[in-house]
Amino acid sequence: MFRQAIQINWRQYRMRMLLIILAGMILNALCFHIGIQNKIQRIQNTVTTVRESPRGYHSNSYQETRRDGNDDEPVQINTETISKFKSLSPADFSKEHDRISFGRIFYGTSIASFTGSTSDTVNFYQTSTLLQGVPIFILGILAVILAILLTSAEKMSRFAVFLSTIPVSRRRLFAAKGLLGSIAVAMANIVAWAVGFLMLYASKLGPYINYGAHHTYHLSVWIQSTVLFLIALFVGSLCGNIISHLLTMIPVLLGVLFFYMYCIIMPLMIFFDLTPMHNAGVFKFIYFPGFTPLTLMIRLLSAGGLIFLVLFAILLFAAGIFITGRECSWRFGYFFTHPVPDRIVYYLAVYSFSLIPLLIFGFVAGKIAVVGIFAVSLLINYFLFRFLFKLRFGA
Amino acid sequence: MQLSVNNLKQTFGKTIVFQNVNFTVSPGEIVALIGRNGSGKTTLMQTVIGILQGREGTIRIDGTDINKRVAAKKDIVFIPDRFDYFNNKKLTEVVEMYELVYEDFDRTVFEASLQSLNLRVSVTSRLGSYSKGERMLVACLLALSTRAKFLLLDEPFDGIDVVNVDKLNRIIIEAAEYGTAIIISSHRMETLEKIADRTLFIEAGGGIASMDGTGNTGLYKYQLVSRETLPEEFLRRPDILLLSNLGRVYTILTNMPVTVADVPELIIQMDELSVHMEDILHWQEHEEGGRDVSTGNTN
Repeated sequence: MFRQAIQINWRQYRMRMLLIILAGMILNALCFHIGIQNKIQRIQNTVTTVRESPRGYHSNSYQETRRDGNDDEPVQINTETISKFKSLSPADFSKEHDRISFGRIFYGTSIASFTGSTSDTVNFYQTSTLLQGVPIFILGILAVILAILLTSAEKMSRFAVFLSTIPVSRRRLFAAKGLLGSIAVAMANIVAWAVGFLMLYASKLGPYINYGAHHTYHLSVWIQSTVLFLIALFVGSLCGNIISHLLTMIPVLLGVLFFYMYCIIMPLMIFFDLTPMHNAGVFKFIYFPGFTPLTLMIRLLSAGGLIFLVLFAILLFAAGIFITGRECSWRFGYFFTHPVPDRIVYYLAVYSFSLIPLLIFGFVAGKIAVVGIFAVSLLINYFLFRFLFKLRFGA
Repeated sequence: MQLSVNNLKQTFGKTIVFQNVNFTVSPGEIVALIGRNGSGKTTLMQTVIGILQGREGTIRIDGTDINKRVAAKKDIVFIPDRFDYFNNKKLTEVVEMYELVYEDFDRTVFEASLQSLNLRVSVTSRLGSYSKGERMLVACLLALSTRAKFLLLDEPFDGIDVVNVDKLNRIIIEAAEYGTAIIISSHRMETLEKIADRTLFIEAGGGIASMDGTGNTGLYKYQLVSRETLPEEFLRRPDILLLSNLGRVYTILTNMPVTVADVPELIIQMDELSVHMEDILHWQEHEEGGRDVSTGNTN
């Protein structure tokens, strides 16, 4: 029967899952592209700095990006090459820019060593001024959207009603949905990892990259997006059959994202310092694909109590299976089956929305005004959501 | 094989939708489920099929509680008033889904039935592009092709033209002849009366009463023609549940048989009429929560 449940879910939701995988691939590739271009630009700037600086390699960029603490460590620089490089006219410099920037012979060592952090893949995600920090969340956000598509959106099409009438238990259907969704999230991460890997490999930076950091980054993102998917699926399982409008899922989405961004995941991401992996001296492909995933997983899970978060998400998933087996409330006028989580997520949504005007106006107006603006925002959003809920449910 | 509903109770919050609902349905029966708007017909069907879980009571098919052993649901199919589960899917995809869900689904039967009804639907079109009547007919054919023993139809005649109503009736009668039991809820009394073997009346917050095909509800209806206005003491008899008159022609609904000896000498003509579903509904409306319909012939 579980196989039947898997097949039913796959037949019904395959397009949504493929859409999420595709969206993950495109958005991730876009951010990766921007990150790579940004990194190349930084290297070019470094080269320019070297060209114009009497001290050569001691550029600001170098100082900023070295993370191993060994700032005084001498770096082998071929001064003769630099002199030659400096003697080039601007026109020649531009003409042979790529070769100059990325060739080993000009520096006597690799550009990776010269700039200090070329191999730190996380920088590709963090150095874009336009998308700074955002790429980290993309796969997580997509995982949340997938969970919502698999839970509330099926109620919009009344497919959930059909599922309640068939000779397959709700619990099996929900468990199968969770399993398939987790696989889709994993697939989205694998595709994003592969695309990022290929883009890096094919780029000018390719020969100087430490791919271990790339793998580590994607492994951590995968764990986080799976955790998020399971949390959002649990929230979706609390929603009764009354959900029949996409707008009503906005509070859920915001609540989960709030939970994601402010409470757990962001601090964990900051906690992860991937540079030591690079500095451990393990180079390039050695990390992958053999023994490394397991050790990386253990390392990531042991960091910042992430193992507890994963266990918590699995526990929530199990709770979701249990709840789904029970009655879904209908026509009660409540947003959720249970009033308590209903209230919690409702207030989280209000709070999340309140932060928007706070961020926009608060800091501009000054510290004291922030408190007032925040209070007013809370009130406005409270009544706005109450209005929306009443409009939909007559509660 | 029997579908038996025992002591079923459903509530929405503190509101009791129905309680003490008991009935059984046997193979080949066509059972009409009637009641006023808001009496809980749809809720009863949804509770029986498991969309909602009853607060009390059991629903058994051949002795198996379908809430405890969900596989037993293969023998019961529910068709809602709006068959819009698959509006964005092609008919071929819907058939594949039914094949996946119901192991006994017979595609050959479905295709043959579709052809015999002369439905002008394209199997490669999305169900959302079908008319409401076409969707309902297709839903019935899909349900019957599962070879389920019980079929629950919620308001199947709503918004359907007479031609499609006739086709639907044909499907229902043929299915019953093959041994499928069908429970139909509808407000189209004249249609139901033509095809139903038995009628279940449901009253909001109350129970359920049953009437067999001969009209045995424990209620009686008479038409009386009087020489002059009937005396008040006769009209206030406790066994007269409902009374209407057009001049000196009176129609009464009673809960016990009335003979010529029981009526005043003013009566010049007395005819017994058959009790129709409408009469029960009118009486329920008149009572407004007074007498309980379940005091009739409750199973």
